[in-house]
Amino acid sequence: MIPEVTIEAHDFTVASEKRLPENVPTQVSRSLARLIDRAAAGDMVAFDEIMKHSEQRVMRMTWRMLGNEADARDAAQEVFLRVYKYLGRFRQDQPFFAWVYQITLNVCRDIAKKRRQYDTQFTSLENGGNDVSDDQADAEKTLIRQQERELIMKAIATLPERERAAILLRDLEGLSTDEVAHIMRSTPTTVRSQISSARQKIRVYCGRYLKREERRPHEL
Amino acid sequence: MNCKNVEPLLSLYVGRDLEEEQSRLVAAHLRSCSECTLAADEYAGASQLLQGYEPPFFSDEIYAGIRGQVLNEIKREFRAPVRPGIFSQVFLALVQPRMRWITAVVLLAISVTALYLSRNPSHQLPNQEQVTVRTGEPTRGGGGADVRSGNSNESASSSLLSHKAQDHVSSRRLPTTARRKANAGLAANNRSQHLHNTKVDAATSESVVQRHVDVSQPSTAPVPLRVEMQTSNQNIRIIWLSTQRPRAGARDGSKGI
Repeated sequence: MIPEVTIEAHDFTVASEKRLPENVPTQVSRSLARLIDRAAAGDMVAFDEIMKHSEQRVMRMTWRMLGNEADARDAAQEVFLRVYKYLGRFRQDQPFFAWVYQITLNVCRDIAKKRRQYDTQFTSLENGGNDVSDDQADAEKTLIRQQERELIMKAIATLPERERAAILLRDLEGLSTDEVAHIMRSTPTTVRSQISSARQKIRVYCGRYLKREERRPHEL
Repeated sequence: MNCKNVEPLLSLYVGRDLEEEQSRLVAAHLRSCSECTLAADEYAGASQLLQGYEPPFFSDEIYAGIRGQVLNEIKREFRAPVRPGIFSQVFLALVQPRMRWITAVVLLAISVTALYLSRNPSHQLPNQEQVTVRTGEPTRGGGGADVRSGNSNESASSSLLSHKAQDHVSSRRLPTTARRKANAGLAANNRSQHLHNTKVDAATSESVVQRHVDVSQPSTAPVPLRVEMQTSNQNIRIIWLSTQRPRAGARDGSKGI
Protein backbone atom coordinates (compact mmCIF):
# COMPACT_ATOMS: atom_id res chain seq x y z
CA MET A 1 0.00 0.00 0.00
CA ILE A 2 1.58 3.20 -1.14
CA PRO A 3 0.92 6.04 1.24
CA GLU A 4 -0.78 9.13 -0.12
CA VAL A 5 1.89 11.69 -0.85
CA THR A 6 1.09 15.19 -1.89
CA ILE A 7 3.16 17.01 -4.46
CA GLU A 8 3.74 20.68 -4.14
CA ALA A 9 3.04 21.88 -7.63
CA HIS A 10 3.20 25.60 -7.10
CA ASP A 11 4.50 27.79 -4.38
CA PHE A 12 1.97 30.54 -4.46
CA THR A 13 1.96 31.23 -0.77
CA VAL A 14 2.24 34.87 0.14
CA ALA A 15 3.09 35.93 3.64
CA SER A 16 -0.12 37.84 4.13
CA GLU A 17 -2.32 35.09 2.72
CA LYS A 18 -2.80 32.74 5.62
CA ARG A 19 -6.40 31.86 4.96
CA LEU A 20 -6.28 28.92 2.60
CA PRO A 21 -9.10 26.42 2.74
CA GLU A 22 -8.66 22.70 2.48
CA ASN A 23 -9.52 22.52 -1.19
CA VAL A 24 -6.67 24.62 -2.49
CA PRO A 25 -5.72 23.39 -5.95
CA THR A 26 -2.01 23.84 -5.48
CA GLN A 27 -1.46 20.28 -4.38
CA VAL A 28 -1.82 17.35 -6.70
CA SER A 29 -1.89 13.97 -5.06
CA ARG A 30 0.19 11.21 -6.55
CA SER A 31 -2.87 9.05 -7.00
CA LEU A 32 -4.51 11.82 -8.99
CA ALA A 33 -1.39 12.15 -11.10
CA ARG A 34 -1.58 8.43 -11.88
CA LEU A 35 -5.24 8.78 -12.78
CA ILE A 36 -4.38 11.64 -15.10
CA ASP A 37 -1.71 9.55 -16.82
CA ARG A 38 -4.08 6.66 -17.29
CA ALA A 39 -6.89 8.86 -18.53
CA ALA A 40 -4.57 10.58 -20.98
CA ALA A 41 -3.75 7.12 -22.32
CA GLY A 42 -7.44 6.48 -22.95
CA ASP A 43 -8.48 4.74 -19.74
CA MET A 44 -12.12 5.72 -19.34
CA VAL A 45 -12.35 4.27 -15.85
CA ALA A 46 -9.56 6.56 -14.74
CA PHE A 47 -11.24 9.52 -16.39
CA ASP A 48 -14.49 8.66 -14.63
CA GLU A 49 -12.58 8.77 -11.35
CA ILE A 50 -11.18 12.17 -12.26
CA MET A 51 -14.67 13.43 -12.95
CA LYS A 52 -15.87 12.14 -9.59
CA HIS A 53 -12.92 13.83 -8.00
CA SER A 54 -13.65 17.25 -9.48
CA GLU A 55 -17.34 17.33 -10.36
CA GLN A 56 -18.50 19.18 -7.25
CA ARG A 57 -15.87 21.83 -7.70
CA VAL A 58 -16.76 22.27 -11.36
CA MET A 59 -20.51 22.34 -10.78
CA ARG A 60 -20.16 24.83 -7.96
CA MET A 61 -18.08 27.16 -10.09
CA THR A 62 -20.27 26.87 -13.19
CA TRP A 63 -23.40 27.53 -11.18
CA ARG A 64 -21.88 30.56 -9.52
CA MET A 65 -20.68 31.94 -12.83
CA LEU A 66 -23.85 31.26 -14.79
CA GLY A 67 -26.48 31.50 -12.10
CA ASN A 68 -28.77 28.62 -13.04
CA GLU A 69 -28.67 24.87 -12.87
CA ALA A 70 -29.38 24.06 -16.51
CA ASP A 71 -26.50 26.14 -17.80
CA ALA A 72 -24.30 24.88 -14.99
CA ARG A 73 -24.92 21.27 -16.00
CA ASP A 74 -24.27 21.99 -19.66
CA ALA A 75 -21.13 23.86 -18.74
CA ALA A 76 -19.87 21.07 -16.48
CA GLN A 77 -20.42 18.55 -19.25
CA GLU A 78 -18.49 20.70 -21.69
CA VAL A 79 -15.74 21.24 -19.15
CA PHE A 80 -15.17 17.51 -18.75
CA LEU A 81 -15.24 16.98 -22.48
CA ARG A 82 -12.54 19.61 -22.90
CA VAL A 83 -10.58 18.15 -20.02
CA TYR A 84 -10.57 14.78 -21.75
CA LYS A 85 -9.77 16.30 -25.12
CA TYR A 86 -6.80 18.28 -23.88
CA LEU A 87 -5.62 16.00 -21.12
CA GLY A 88 -2.61 15.08 -23.23
CA ARG A 89 -1.45 18.69 -23.12
CA PHE A 90 -1.69 18.94 -19.36
CA ARG A 91 1.71 19.22 -17.75
CA GLN A 92 2.15 17.51 -14.43
CA ASP A 93 4.17 20.40 -13.08
CA GLN A 94 1.11 22.64 -12.88
CA PRO A 95 -1.80 22.26 -10.50
CA PHE A 96 -4.50 20.15 -12.03
CA PHE A 97 -7.44 21.98 -10.54
CA ALA A 98 -6.10 25.34 -11.59
CA TRP A 99 -6.05 23.94 -15.10
CA VAL A 100 -9.63 22.71 -14.64
CA TYR A 101 -10.64 26.15 -13.40
CA GLN A 102 -9.14 27.70 -16.50
CA ILE A 103 -11.23 25.44 -18.68
CA THR A 104 -14.27 26.11 -16.54
CA LEU A 105 -13.95 29.85 -16.94
CA ASN A 106 -13.51 29.51 -20.69
CA VAL A 107 -16.58 27.32 -20.97
CA CYS A 108 -18.64 29.66 -18.80
CA ARG A 109 -17.59 32.59 -20.94
CA ASP A 110 -18.67 30.76 -24.10
CA ILE A 111 -22.01 29.77 -22.63
CA ALA A 112 -22.58 33.26 -21.26
CA LYS A 113 -22.11 34.64 -24.76
CA LYS A 114 -24.70 32.25 -26.13
CA ARG A 115 -26.99 33.03 -23.25
CA ARG A 116 -26.78 36.74 -23.96
CA GLN A 117 -27.96 35.98 -27.46
CA TYR A 118 -31.08 34.35 -26.07
CA ASP A 119 -31.45 37.02 -23.39
CA THR A 120 -31.77 34.65 -20.46
CA GLN A 121 -31.03 35.86 -16.97
CA PHE A 122 -29.84 34.53 -13.69
CA THR A 123 -32.59 32.48 -12.16
CA SER A 124 -34.23 33.97 -9.15
CA LEU A 125 -34.07 32.37 -5.76
CA GLU A 126 -37.57 31.00 -6.13
CA ASN A 127 -36.36 28.87 -8.97
CA GLY A 128 -32.77 28.18 -8.12
CA GLY A 129 -32.59 28.35 -4.36
CA ASN A 130 -33.91 24.96 -3.46
CA ASP A 131 -31.32 24.17 -0.83
CA VAL A 132 -33.34 25.71 1.94
CA SER A 133 -34.62 22.79 3.92
CA ASP A 134 -38.31 22.70 4.63
CA ASP A 135 -37.93 21.50 8.16
CA GLN A 136 -36.54 24.79 9.39
CA ALA A 137 -38.91 26.05 12.00
CA ASP A 138 -38.21 29.69 11.74
CA ALA A 139 -39.94 30.82 8.57
CA GLU A 140 -38.78 34.38 9.05
CA LYS A 141 -35.19 33.31 9.21
CA THR A 142 -35.65 31.31 6.07
CA LEU A 143 -37.16 34.27 4.31
CA ILE A 144 -34.27 36.51 5.36
CA ARG A 145 -31.75 34.05 4.06
CA GLN A 146 -33.63 33.79 0.83
CA GLN A 147 -33.66 37.56 0.45
CA GLU A 148 -29.97 37.74 1.14
CA ARG A 149 -29.19 35.12 -1.42
CA GLU A 150 -31.29 36.83 -4.02
CA LEU A 151 -29.61 40.09 -3.22
CA ILE A 152 -26.11 38.77 -3.56
CA MET A 153 -27.07 36.89 -6.69
CA LYS A 154 -28.28 40.05 -8.33
CA ALA A 155 -25.20 41.87 -7.16
CA ILE A 156 -22.93 39.27 -8.70
CA ALA A 157 -24.95 39.31 -11.89
CA THR A 158 -24.08 42.97 -12.30
CA LEU A 159 -20.35 42.31 -12.22
CA PRO A 160 -18.27 42.08 -15.35
CA GLU A 161 -17.20 38.58 -16.20
CA ARG A 162 -13.59 38.86 -15.13
CA GLU A 163 -14.41 40.65 -11.89
CA ARG A 164 -17.00 38.00 -11.13
CA ALA A 165 -14.53 35.22 -11.81
CA ALA A 166 -11.86 36.88 -9.71
CA ILE A 167 -14.02 37.43 -6.66
CA LEU A 168 -15.60 33.98 -6.86
CA LEU A 169 -12.23 32.28 -7.05
CA ARG A 170 -10.75 34.44 -4.32
CA ASP A 171 -13.58 34.81 -1.82
CA LEU A 172 -15.64 31.67 -2.41
CA GLU A 173 -13.21 29.10 -3.76
CA GLY A 174 -10.57 30.35 -1.34
CA LEU A 175 -7.69 30.64 -3.78
CA SER A 176 -4.86 33.08 -3.28
CA THR A 177 -4.45 36.14 -5.45
CA ASP A 178 -1.51 34.59 -7.22
CA GLU A 179 -3.43 31.44 -7.94
CA VAL A 180 -6.34 33.44 -9.30
CA ALA A 181 -3.92 35.38 -11.46
CA HIS A 182 -2.47 32.12 -12.75
CA ILE A 183 -5.92 30.76 -13.57
CA MET A 184 -7.05 33.93 -15.25
CA ARG A 185 -3.71 34.34 -17.04
CA SER A 186 -3.28 37.74 -15.50
CA THR A 187 -1.08 39.48 -12.97
CA PRO A 188 -1.69 39.53 -9.20
CA THR A 189 -1.92 43.32 -9.31
CA THR A 190 -4.64 43.22 -11.93
CA VAL A 191 -6.50 40.52 -10.05
CA ARG A 192 -6.26 42.50 -6.83
CA SER A 193 -7.70 45.50 -8.63
CA GLN A 194 -10.53 43.44 -10.06
CA ILE A 195 -11.31 41.96 -6.67
CA SER A 196 -11.31 45.37 -5.04
CA SER A 197 -13.63 46.74 -7.71
CA ALA A 198 -15.98 43.80 -7.37
CA ARG A 199 -16.16 44.16 -3.59
CA GLN A 200 -16.92 47.85 -3.89
CA LYS A 201 -19.74 47.18 -6.34
CA ILE A 202 -21.22 44.48 -4.15
CA ARG A 203 -21.01 46.74 -1.15
CA VAL A 204 -22.80 49.52 -3.01
CA TYR A 205 -25.42 47.17 -4.35
CA CYS A 206 -26.09 45.65 -0.95
CA GLY A 207 -25.55 48.88 0.96
CA ARG A 208 -29.17 49.69 1.54
CA TYR A 209 -29.90 46.23 2.76
CA LEU A 210 -26.88 46.22 4.99
CA LYS A 211 -27.76 49.59 6.52
CA ARG A 212 -31.36 48.57 6.99
CA GLU A 213 -30.41 45.44 8.78
CA GLU A 214 -27.88 47.35 10.87
CA ARG A 215 -25.58 44.43 10.93
CA ARG A 216 -22.98 44.30 13.57
CA PRO A 217 -19.44 44.70 12.31
CA HIS A 218 -17.50 41.49 12.08
CA GLU A 219 -14.20 41.05 13.67
CA LEU A 220 -11.37 41.14 11.22
CA MET B 1 -2.62 57.49 6.56
CA ASN B 2 -5.69 59.63 6.01
CA CYS B 3 -9.18 58.63 4.87
CA LYS B 4 -8.38 59.37 1.24
CA ASN B 5 -5.55 56.90 1.28
CA VAL B 6 -7.37 54.28 3.33
CA GLU B 7 -10.63 54.19 1.47
CA PRO B 8 -9.33 52.41 -1.66
CA LEU B 9 -7.62 49.86 0.54
CA LEU B 10 -10.59 48.97 2.70
CA SER B 11 -11.95 46.25 0.45
CA LEU B 12 -8.56 44.63 0.25
CA TYR B 13 -8.08 45.04 3.98
CA VAL B 14 -11.35 43.26 4.72
CA GLY B 15 -10.43 40.47 2.31
CA ARG B 16 -6.91 40.24 3.79
CA ASP B 17 -5.31 40.97 0.47
CA LEU B 18 -2.95 43.66 1.72
CA GLU B 19 0.68 43.32 2.62
CA GLU B 20 1.42 43.16 6.30
CA GLU B 21 2.71 46.71 6.55
CA GLN B 22 -0.25 48.20 4.68
CA SER B 23 -2.67 46.16 6.73
CA ARG B 24 -1.12 47.45 9.95
CA LEU B 25 -1.42 51.06 8.77
CA VAL B 26 -5.07 50.66 7.77
CA ALA B 27 -5.90 49.02 11.10
CA ALA B 28 -4.28 51.94 12.92
CA HIS B 29 -6.38 54.40 10.93
CA LEU B 30 -9.58 52.50 11.60
CA ARG B 31 -9.03 52.77 15.33
CA SER B 32 -9.23 56.52 15.03
CA CYS B 33 -11.77 57.02 12.20
CA SER B 34 -15.40 56.03 12.73
CA GLU B 35 -16.39 56.79 9.15
CA CYS B 36 -13.84 54.43 7.68
CA THR B 37 -14.74 51.88 10.34
CA LEU B 38 -18.36 52.02 9.20
CA ALA B 39 -17.27 51.52 5.61
CA ALA B 40 -15.14 48.56 6.65
CA ASP B 41 -18.13 47.08 8.43
CA GLU B 42 -20.16 47.35 5.24
CA TYR B 43 -17.44 45.57 3.34
CA ALA B 44 -17.45 42.85 5.97
CA GLY B 45 -21.23 42.55 5.73
CA ALA B 46 -21.08 42.28 1.96
CA SER B 47 -18.39 39.64 2.29
CA GLN B 48 -20.61 37.68 4.64
CA LEU B 49 -23.48 37.96 2.22
CA LEU B 50 -21.19 36.71 -0.50
CA GLN B 51 -20.42 33.63 1.53
CA GLY B 52 -24.09 32.79 1.32
CA TYR B 53 -23.89 32.56 -2.44
CA GLU B 54 -23.89 28.81 -2.40
CA PRO B 55 -25.22 26.66 -5.19
CA PRO B 56 -28.20 24.41 -4.58
CA PHE B 57 -27.72 20.83 -3.63
CA PHE B 58 -26.96 18.63 -6.60
CA SER B 59 -27.87 15.02 -6.08
CA ASP B 60 -25.70 12.08 -7.00
CA GLU B 61 -28.09 11.33 -9.83
CA ILE B 62 -27.31 14.69 -11.37
CA TYR B 63 -23.58 14.07 -11.17
CA ALA B 64 -23.99 10.52 -12.48
CA GLY B 65 -26.04 11.86 -15.37
CA ILE B 66 -23.37 14.38 -16.26
CA ARG B 67 -20.66 11.73 -16.13
CA GLY B 68 -22.69 9.37 -18.24
CA GLN B 69 -23.35 12.00 -20.87
CA VAL B 70 -19.69 12.93 -20.93
CA LEU B 71 -18.57 9.34 -21.37
CA ASN B 72 -21.12 8.73 -24.11
CA GLU B 73 -20.05 11.88 -25.86
CA ILE B 74 -16.43 10.84 -25.62
CA LYS B 75 -17.18 7.41 -27.09
CA ARG B 76 -19.11 9.00 -29.92
CA GLU B 77 -16.79 11.89 -30.62
CA PHE B 78 -13.40 10.36 -29.99
CA ARG B 79 -14.04 7.04 -31.71
CA ALA B 80 -11.10 5.76 -33.69
CA PRO B 81 -11.40 7.18 -37.17
CA VAL B 82 -11.73 4.87 -40.18
CA ARG B 83 -8.42 4.60 -41.97
CA PRO B 84 -8.72 6.41 -45.30
CA GLY B 85 -7.71 4.83 -48.58
CA ILE B 86 -4.40 5.37 -50.31
CA PHE B 87 -5.76 8.02 -52.68
CA SER B 88 -7.42 9.84 -49.82
CA GLN B 89 -4.18 9.75 -47.87
CA VAL B 90 -2.22 11.12 -50.83
CA PHE B 91 -4.82 13.81 -51.43
CA LEU B 92 -4.90 14.75 -47.76
CA ALA B 93 -1.12 14.84 -47.69
CA LEU B 94 -0.98 17.10 -50.73
CA VAL B 95 -3.51 19.58 -49.39
CA GLN B 96 -1.82 19.85 -46.04
CA PRO B 97 -0.44 23.30 -45.36
CA ARG B 98 3.15 22.11 -45.38
CA MET B 99 2.76 20.42 -48.77
CA ARG B 100 0.76 23.10 -50.51
CA TRP B 101 3.79 24.92 -51.84
CA ILE B 102 5.42 21.74 -53.11
CA THR B 103 2.21 20.67 -54.80
CA ALA B 104 1.81 24.07 -56.41
CA VAL B 105 5.40 24.05 -57.69
CA VAL B 106 5.05 20.54 -59.14
CA LEU B 107 1.80 21.41 -60.88
CA LEU B 108 3.32 24.60 -62.23
CA ALA B 109 6.35 22.74 -63.58
CA ILE B 110 4.13 20.17 -65.28
CA SER B 111 2.00 22.90 -66.82
CA VAL B 112 5.01 24.83 -68.13
CA THR B 113 6.56 21.69 -69.61
CA ALA B 114 3.34 20.72 -71.33
CA LEU B 115 2.92 24.22 -72.72
CA TYR B 116 6.51 24.30 -73.96
CA LEU B 117 6.22 20.95 -75.71
CA SER B 118 2.94 21.89 -77.31
CA ARG B 119 4.43 25.08 -78.78
CA ASN B 120 7.70 23.50 -79.99
CA PRO B 121 6.88 20.60 -82.32
CA SER B 122 10.56 20.22 -83.21
CA HIS B 123 10.93 18.32 -79.99
CA GLN B 124 8.52 15.72 -81.28
CA LEU B 125 10.36 13.35 -83.64
CA PRO B 126 7.95 10.59 -84.47
CA ASN B 127 7.76 11.33 -88.22
CA GLN B 128 11.23 12.65 -88.67
CA GLU B 129 12.87 12.11 -92.01
CA GLN B 130 16.42 11.05 -91.33
CA VAL B 131 19.28 11.06 -93.78
CA THR B 132 22.55 9.57 -92.71
CA VAL B 133 25.72 10.36 -94.65
CA ARG B 134 28.86 8.45 -93.97
CA THR B 135 32.08 9.61 -95.44
CA GLY B 136 35.00 7.31 -95.72
CA GLU B 137 38.57 8.14 -94.94
CA PRO B 138 40.04 10.64 -97.37
CA THR B 139 42.63 9.52 -99.86
CA ARG B 140 46.02 9.75 -98.39
CA GLY B 141 48.24 12.00 -100.54
CA GLY B 142 47.86 12.86 -104.20
CA GLY B 143 49.35 9.54 -105.34
CA GLY B 144 46.31 7.77 -104.29
CA ALA B 145 44.25 9.75 -106.73
CA ASP B 146 46.54 8.88 -109.55
CA VAL B 147 46.50 5.20 -108.91
CA ARG B 148 42.75 5.26 -108.55
CA SER B 149 42.14 7.42 -111.57
CA GLY B 150 41.63 4.47 -113.86
CA ASN B 151 38.84 3.18 -111.78
CA SER B 152 37.46 6.43 -110.66
CA ASN B 153 34.42 6.23 -112.85
CA GLU B 154 33.74 2.73 -111.75
CA SER B 155 34.27 3.69 -108.20
CA ALA B 156 32.00 6.63 -108.58
CA SER B 157 29.39 4.58 -110.31
CA SER B 158 29.62 1.88 -107.73
CA SER B 159 29.35 4.51 -105.09
CA LEU B 160 26.36 5.97 -106.81
CA LEU B 161 24.95 2.55 -107.28
CA SER B 162 25.51 1.83 -103.68
CA HIS B 163 23.86 5.06 -102.71
CA LYS B 164 20.92 4.53 -105.04
CA ALA B 165 20.46 0.94 -104.10
CA GLN B 166 20.51 1.66 -100.43
CA ASP B 167 18.25 4.60 -100.91
CA HIS B 168 15.92 2.41 -102.83
CA VAL B 169 15.99 -0.32 -100.23
CA SER B 170 15.50 2.01 -97.38
CA SER B 171 12.85 4.19 -98.85
CA ARG B 172 10.69 1.43 -100.25
CA ARG B 173 10.86 -0.66 -97.13
CA LEU B 174 11.39 -3.87 -98.94
CA PRO B 175 10.93 -7.14 -97.21
CA THR B 176 13.86 -8.43 -95.27
CA THR B 177 14.84 -11.09 -97.80
CA ALA B 178 14.84 -8.67 -100.71
CA ARG B 179 16.84 -6.20 -98.72
CA ARG B 180 19.39 -8.87 -97.93
CA LYS B 181 19.76 -9.69 -101.63
CA ALA B 182 20.25 -6.07 -102.53
CA ASN B 183 22.80 -5.60 -99.81
CA ALA B 184 24.57 -8.78 -100.91
CA GLY B 185 24.84 -7.43 -104.46
CA LEU B 186 26.20 -4.20 -103.16
CA ALA B 187 28.71 -6.00 -101.02
CA ALA B 188 29.90 -8.04 -103.99
CA ASN B 189 30.24 -4.94 -106.07
CA ASN B 190 32.19 -3.20 -103.36
CA ARG B 191 34.38 -6.25 -102.89
CA SER B 192 35.30 -6.30 -106.57
CA GLN B 193 36.02 -2.60 -106.44
CA HIS B 194 38.13 -3.15 -103.38
CA LEU B 195 40.16 -5.76 -105.27
CA HIS B 196 40.73 -3.22 -108.03
CA ASN B 197 42.17 -0.80 -105.56
CA THR B 198 44.49 -3.06 -103.68
CA LYS B 199 47.32 -0.61 -104.17
CA VAL B 200 45.49 2.08 -102.38
CA ASP B 201 46.40 2.17 -98.77
CA ALA B 202 43.31 3.84 -97.57
CA ALA B 203 39.79 3.32 -98.54
CA THR B 204 38.46 5.60 -101.18
CA SER B 205 36.08 8.31 -100.35
CA GLU B 206 32.71 6.84 -99.93
CA SER B 207 29.48 8.49 -99.37
CA VAL B 208 26.57 6.55 -98.16
CA VAL B 209 23.26 8.24 -97.85
CA GLN B 210 20.51 6.60 -95.97
CA ARG B 211 17.07 8.01 -95.85
CA HIS B 212 14.53 6.69 -93.47
CA VAL B 213 11.09 7.73 -94.51
CA ASP B 214 7.97 6.82 -92.71
CA VAL B 215 5.71 5.81 -95.58
CA SER B 216 2.68 5.91 -93.41
CA GLN B 217 2.85 9.70 -93.51
CA PRO B 218 2.45 11.68 -96.72
CA SER B 219 5.75 12.92 -97.99
CA THR B 220 4.43 16.44 -98.47
CA ALA B 221 3.95 16.94 -94.77
CA PRO B 222 6.31 19.56 -93.35
CA VAL B 223 8.14 17.16 -91.09
CA PRO B 224 11.62 18.12 -89.89
CA LEU B 225 14.63 16.74 -91.72
CA ARG B 226 17.54 15.22 -89.86
CA VAL B 227 20.85 14.48 -91.56
CA GLU B 228 23.69 12.74 -89.79
CA MET B 229 27.17 12.59 -91.27
CA GLN B 230 29.78 10.36 -89.80
CA THR B 231 33.25 11.68 -90.49
CA SER B 232 36.42 9.66 -90.69
CA ASN B 233 36.97 10.40 -87.10
CA GLN B 234 34.69 8.12 -85.17
CA ASN B 235 34.33 10.70 -82.45
CA ILE B 236 32.96 13.38 -84.77
CA ARG B 237 29.43 13.11 -86.06
CA ILE B 238 27.73 15.95 -87.88
CA ILE B 239 24.01 16.23 -87.39
CA TRP B 240 22.00 18.61 -89.52
CA LEU B 241 18.42 19.47 -88.66
CA SER B 242 16.01 21.32 -90.87
CA THR B 243 12.31 21.87 -90.75
CA GLN B 244 12.20 22.38 -94.54
CA ARG B 245 12.36 19.55 -96.98
CA PRO B 246 15.24 19.39 -99.44
CA ARG B 247 14.66 20.60 -102.95
CA ALA B 248 13.00 18.40 -105.48
CA GLY B 249 16.23 17.89 -107.37
CA ALA B 250 17.97 16.72 -104.28
CA ARG B 251 15.55 14.03 -103.31
CA ASP B 252 18.30 11.46 -103.40
CA GLY B 253 19.90 13.26 -100.52
CA SER B 254 23.39 13.53 -101.88
CA LYS B 255 22.86 16.85 -103.68
CA GLY B 256 20.91 18.40 -100.87
CA ILE B 257 23.66 18.04 -98.40
